[in-house]
Amino acid sequence: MLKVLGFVKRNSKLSHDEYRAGHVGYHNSFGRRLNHIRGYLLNVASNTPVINSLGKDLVHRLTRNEPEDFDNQWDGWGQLMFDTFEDYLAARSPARDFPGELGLQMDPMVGKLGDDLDELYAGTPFQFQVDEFISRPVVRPERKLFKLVQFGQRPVELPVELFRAYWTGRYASLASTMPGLRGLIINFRTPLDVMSKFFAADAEGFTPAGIERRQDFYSLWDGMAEYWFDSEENFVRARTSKPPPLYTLEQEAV
Amino acid sequence: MQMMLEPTRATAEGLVVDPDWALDDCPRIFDPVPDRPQEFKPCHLRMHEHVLLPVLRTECKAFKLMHFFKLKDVTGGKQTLVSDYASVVAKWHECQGCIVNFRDSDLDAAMRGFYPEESWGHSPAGQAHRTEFCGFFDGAIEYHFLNSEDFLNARRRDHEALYAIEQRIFSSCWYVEVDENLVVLPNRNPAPAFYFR
Repeated sequence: MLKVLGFVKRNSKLSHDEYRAGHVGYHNSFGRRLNHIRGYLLNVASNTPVINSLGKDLVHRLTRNEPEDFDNQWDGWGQLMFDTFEDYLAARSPARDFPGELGLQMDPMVGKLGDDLDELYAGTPFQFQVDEFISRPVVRPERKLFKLVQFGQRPVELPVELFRAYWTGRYASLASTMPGLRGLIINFRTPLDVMSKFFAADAEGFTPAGIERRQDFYSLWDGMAEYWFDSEENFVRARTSKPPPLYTLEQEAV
Repeated sequence: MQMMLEPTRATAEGLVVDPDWALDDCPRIFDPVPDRPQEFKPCHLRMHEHVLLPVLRTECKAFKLMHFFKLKDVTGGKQTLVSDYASVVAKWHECQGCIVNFRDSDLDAAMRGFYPEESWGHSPAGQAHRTEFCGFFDGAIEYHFLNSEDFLNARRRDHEALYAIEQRIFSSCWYVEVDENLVVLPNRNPAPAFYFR
């Protein structure tokens, strides 16, 4: 399955909560109608900084070399899933899902994703493919979960294969045993070009400034782990009750 | 329909209520009313649910089965369902969720205030249509399983006990498999103070 993430920065005319409504509401109503889409999630940056939800001590213990101003480069990211790359590229064509006078008809607005990109975002999304490693398949109850994402950068001297193996190996095995965990997926960004035939050729993302902005963002991290818990308390408890094994592995990775 | 929309469309003027939002395709999707071209035949029913097993959803298409029933004695039957019957089903370790839904005896409970009073749904023909449909069942149990085999295994294990109860309380019951499209994942916790779906 092809998994594509698109990180976006909101248009400065919108507050963060207005951006939420615009992205989750109008925009996603078109996104979910993309042709042959097989999964669609939108992750919006929480209004609560992790230091408030997890506590200063734990955040300091789990964080190393966090890039300055990282969170100011994005407000959310969408996750698109398709069976094939061809399906992904063909997704932005009119969808035949609109009931008209003559039966089911084409809706060109689907291909344009509502045509609100310029008003919703500041620039083109940073869109890329990821290889995912499902350590614990996600199981969702009927309530809002606490979702935490751990970004990681590969040490320059560590080969890519080893970096992936360390993260998805013993570390993931241990992490997946955390009590209360409802899902754990580790994603590695790949260099596959998923932007050229998806966005318009004159999009900001293809200008020299847009390319530089994206490359700067990519230079800060190589992989990200998604954790789902019932609550932040569950995560804190899991990481503080039996801290040594995971923490030791994190220290070894430096 | 009488609805208040939230502003969710980003425009040059900021976030606005989407002027193109109409929800006017209902007569073209649903059963139209012959002499009212802008209307369809709605049948909104208020249900009272009893969550026997909270639903858990994996990232795969699940096997969802609806078990419709008509009770011989409504009051006693409801009580038996949420006690004797539920105590058996609640032990099904393969089950990803089970909810018993009872239809409100007021057939207009979910129509009133949602559709205009002058609409077909409130007309004598609309009420007769709803009454006839509701005459078939008093409620439905929704089962969520990973696959049909899991349901069959669970049901086989407890068939005798459940069948005996069904014989006692149902005048009729039948199953329907449905393809659940999760448009908005239910959030049973209080709504957060921001737009969330």
